[in-house]
Amino acid sequence: MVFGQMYDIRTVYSAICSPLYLARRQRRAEEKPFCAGRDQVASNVQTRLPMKGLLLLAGLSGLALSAWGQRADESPYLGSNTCEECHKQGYRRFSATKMARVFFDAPRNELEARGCEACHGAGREHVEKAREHDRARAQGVAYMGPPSGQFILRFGKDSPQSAREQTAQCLQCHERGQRLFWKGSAHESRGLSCLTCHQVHQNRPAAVAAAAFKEPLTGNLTFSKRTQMEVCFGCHPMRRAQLQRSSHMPLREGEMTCASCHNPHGSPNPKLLVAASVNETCYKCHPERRGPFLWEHPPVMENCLNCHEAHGTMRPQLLKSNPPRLCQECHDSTGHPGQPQLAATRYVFNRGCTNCHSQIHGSNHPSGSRFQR
Amino acid sequence: MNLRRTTILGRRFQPALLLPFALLLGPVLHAQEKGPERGNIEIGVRALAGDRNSSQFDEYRDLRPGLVIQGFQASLDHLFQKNYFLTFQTRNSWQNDRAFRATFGDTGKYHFVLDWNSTPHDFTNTAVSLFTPAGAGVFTIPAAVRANLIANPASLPVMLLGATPLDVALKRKLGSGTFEYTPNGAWTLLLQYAHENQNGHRPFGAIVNGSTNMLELPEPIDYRVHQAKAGVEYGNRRGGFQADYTASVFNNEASTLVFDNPFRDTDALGGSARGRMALYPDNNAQSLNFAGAVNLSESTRFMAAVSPQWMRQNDPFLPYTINSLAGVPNLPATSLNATKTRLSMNYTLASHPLPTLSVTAHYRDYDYTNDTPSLLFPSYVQADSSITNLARQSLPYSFNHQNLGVEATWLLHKGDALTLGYDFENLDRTHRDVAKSQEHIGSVTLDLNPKKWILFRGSFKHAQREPQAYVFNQELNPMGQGASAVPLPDGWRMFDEAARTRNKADALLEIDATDRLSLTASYGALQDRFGDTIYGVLGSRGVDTTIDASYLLGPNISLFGNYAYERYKSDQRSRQYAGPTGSAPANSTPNNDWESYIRDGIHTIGAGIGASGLRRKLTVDSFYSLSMAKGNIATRTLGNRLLSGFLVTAIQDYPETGNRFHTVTGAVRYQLANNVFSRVEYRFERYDRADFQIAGMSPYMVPFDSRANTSIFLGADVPGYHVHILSVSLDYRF
Repeated sequence: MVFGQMYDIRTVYSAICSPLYLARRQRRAEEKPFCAGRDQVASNVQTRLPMKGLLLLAGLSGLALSAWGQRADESPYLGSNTCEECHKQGYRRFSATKMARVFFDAPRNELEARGCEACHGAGREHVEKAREHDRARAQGVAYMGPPSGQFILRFGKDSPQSAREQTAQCLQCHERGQRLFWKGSAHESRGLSCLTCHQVHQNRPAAVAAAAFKEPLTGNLTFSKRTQMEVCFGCHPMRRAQLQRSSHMPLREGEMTCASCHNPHGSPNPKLLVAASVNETCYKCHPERRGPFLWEHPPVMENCLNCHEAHGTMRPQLLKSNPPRLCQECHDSTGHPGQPQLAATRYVFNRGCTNCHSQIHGSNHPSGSRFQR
Repeated sequence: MNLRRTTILGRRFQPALLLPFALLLGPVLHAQEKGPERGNIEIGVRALAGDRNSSQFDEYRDLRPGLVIQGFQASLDHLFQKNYFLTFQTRNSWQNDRAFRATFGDTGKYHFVLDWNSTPHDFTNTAVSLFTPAGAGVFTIPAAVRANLIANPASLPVMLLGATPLDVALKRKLGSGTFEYTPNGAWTLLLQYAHENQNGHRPFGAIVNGSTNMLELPEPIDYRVHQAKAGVEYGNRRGGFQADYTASVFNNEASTLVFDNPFRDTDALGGSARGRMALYPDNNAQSLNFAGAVNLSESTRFMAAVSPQWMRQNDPFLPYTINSLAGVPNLPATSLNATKTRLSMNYTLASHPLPTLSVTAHYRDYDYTNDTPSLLFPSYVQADSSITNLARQSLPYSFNHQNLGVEATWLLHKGDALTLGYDFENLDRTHRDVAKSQEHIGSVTLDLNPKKWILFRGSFKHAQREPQAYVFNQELNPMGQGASAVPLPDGWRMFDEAARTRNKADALLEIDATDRLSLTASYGALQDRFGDTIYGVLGSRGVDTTIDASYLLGPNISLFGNYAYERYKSDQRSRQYAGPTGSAPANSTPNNDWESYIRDGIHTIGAGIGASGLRRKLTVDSFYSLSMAKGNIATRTLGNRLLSGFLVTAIQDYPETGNRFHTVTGAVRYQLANNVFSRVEYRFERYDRADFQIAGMSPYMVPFDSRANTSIFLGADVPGYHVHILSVSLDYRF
């Protein structure tokens, strides 16, 4: 009856990790100032909880102590160590992640202190069913009960939970920062969940040097693919092609990423932009074009995308078309703007119109109304 | 001028600093308990062969031969037996595209992040110039050369033989620091500061002597940008609140460009000895950002973001001209004292009233108010030559966008959803042709996930934009155009203001048929029709198609491939005019109408293989990619050449523009020891470009245009290149 013995041990573990017994763990922690793993979880929760929480815990601990003699296994939460016993590899990988360091080393609240069960829900029923299954198998009997997987929250494509339900688990802690506007966002309404783009059980694999697109240095290792951009390309494959064009922003060189301009977690701004408008997003790196100028070029001031395609073009300077045709979309008058112009003229070669009208983004010169000064 | 090369030589010692650091760190890391990898350092040598004398090759990167440190990373956890952690990362350690990042913190409580990176931006490698820098933003021509050109302008091609090469490139250096403190799970404090330097030159057009002489110069870039942010956030299960203050200050240390006129050394009416241009003025922007969200119930969340921003610019005006003889009146002000206020307000209500229904409603108001004074300049000096008594008035353009929309999604089944949306946009503008326009946008999207292995996403959007009235803005006309201006014909419309019908369709299909095969295909189309437009952009259409596939040949070998094609078409119509001469009236007839058709087609292909063997000690990665673009601009006259007054004689289809970018990469990685990997990578890049606008660029462009006989260009071409890159490296993991 090896399993039976193990079960007893786990029951004790569950009691140890249960929030009801935190006060008891705190006493131990005081005797042993630093200890890794489970004990540390308890100690950190205690030291970080506000006074109200301490009072509450003090009361609960009394209840817990009285309950200790009766049933140690009443909590539906068993603690992460129980998970480790069956999910060794996953536990080991998860332990290397930033999230695990917070959960196991420095939880800031009770939820984080639950470790695996913070996301997957209480594990008691899941474990009991798994053990029933194991016992049946050990006895050579067919297990007729429900699969243990039904009793734990699972994530990913195979999960019976909807994308919204899966995401709700993550939002318990992450519905802030960049995720404040997740609900109602374009990606939420299209049924994406956090797990569509992220993995939490392990750090992503290291990007190989041969990767077509490099990415900036980052501490974010939660992407489901090797680079953040590859994640985006999964649903936006045309962007990958655009970034390989002769005129492009330095994404493939690893100087910026999609998230330099877009917040995929939701934004109050159009196109999930990180700034309030297209132009303000561009001004993050090009503040010189912000002005205000004495002579402004109204379409430039309203929207950079009137002339540029930010994701890459075959034309120079990310332009949608070459001058002079680009300028002639709006400008027609007596003289050269109304003439179609031959290719071998100074109105066309080099930079076309901007050979002379070089201050096209705005001029602050008193004689600069034609953007020539 | 050769800033880059000087810098490179000055930084040879840097790898020597990094290596001892890694060696010192080793014992510390090993002293820690045995656990996952704490970091790695990858050092190698790189060799290059081929023709790489193109700015396209080094546009945003620095691939040089010799010793390289591709990357270094070290992570220390549980420092001092506490929850402190420290990570340090570098990339391309002493190259021009290097980056460093250090993070220190107490897990879950606070962290500092320090970033420093450098980004090169090469514009051209072929530039030469007679001009030489003589102080910040000042370019001069050697006196002897100038004297020769004044005496005999025809000697320009001979003089240009003495032009010297220029390094026309930028370098951005960005340093930033972030401190984030989370005293508990609810509160977060954030402080950020970033400072960026941009130094270098980029090609810049200037004219002198009216518009007779075009002088292409290296625009001096010496920017300093400071950005600071301080914010606080509070969040709990019921909602959250964010508030921050952000300031961005831009300083241009070279805000004036002064250059010699090579063809004149004295000021006179009609021309000046020097030219002067105002470059980007200093400016600053400050904003407050407030965002909040509250969960009104289990299924309803209200979110709001309100952000005012103030933009200011008050650089002193330059005089009308540097020409001392132009005889210009006084300026109406010494500086612009410009102020703009932007107020962005967004309100969103997202609700799931039923388990199968979600509704989102949003309102957005983006108000861009320009409080800059409108100044009347009674005179105008054309390119530092002569005064033109045409008044010019600066106009404070403003606009306001309001959007109101609602979207409802029905979850038909897990993974299957139908979404209907409607959006209304109201756009008000001042000092433009259309004072008010409205747009109605309807959309439908369908997401189907009938099986775990198949996913379809489709969407269609139809939008109708109607300007209330299209009235030519007379404020600049005739003041701006002069007496000879010919009125634009009826039906002339600017595409960003005109009535527009837009249709947009997108579809995505993902198939994971087996554990081995994964397939993704997408289609997108965007069509714009400008129904009321007779002159201007008549319409445009873009279509793109992609297909991506990956196949697992075996447990250790996989193949992948992708193909994308984009086609873009745009049609525009214009008219050539002749102003009134003597008693002859202006010539503005439909017989001088012409149309231009822009057609671009771009193919992108990629394919590769990844394999591992020898118990995963050996991995091989190889891929090929090609981006191939072709662009055509065809132009047709719509009139009859035989009719009198026909003007459109100089018309042609422009030569085809195209480029091809091939990349072949093969990398073999072998595990030499438990924590030592070797890697050999070969990469071939070939870039071909056919661009009639820059392919023939040289300082002297008379062979193309005889009127350029007194113009000087940089000769800024971006030619093709082909390069073989071989690198061998060792990756030590600890």
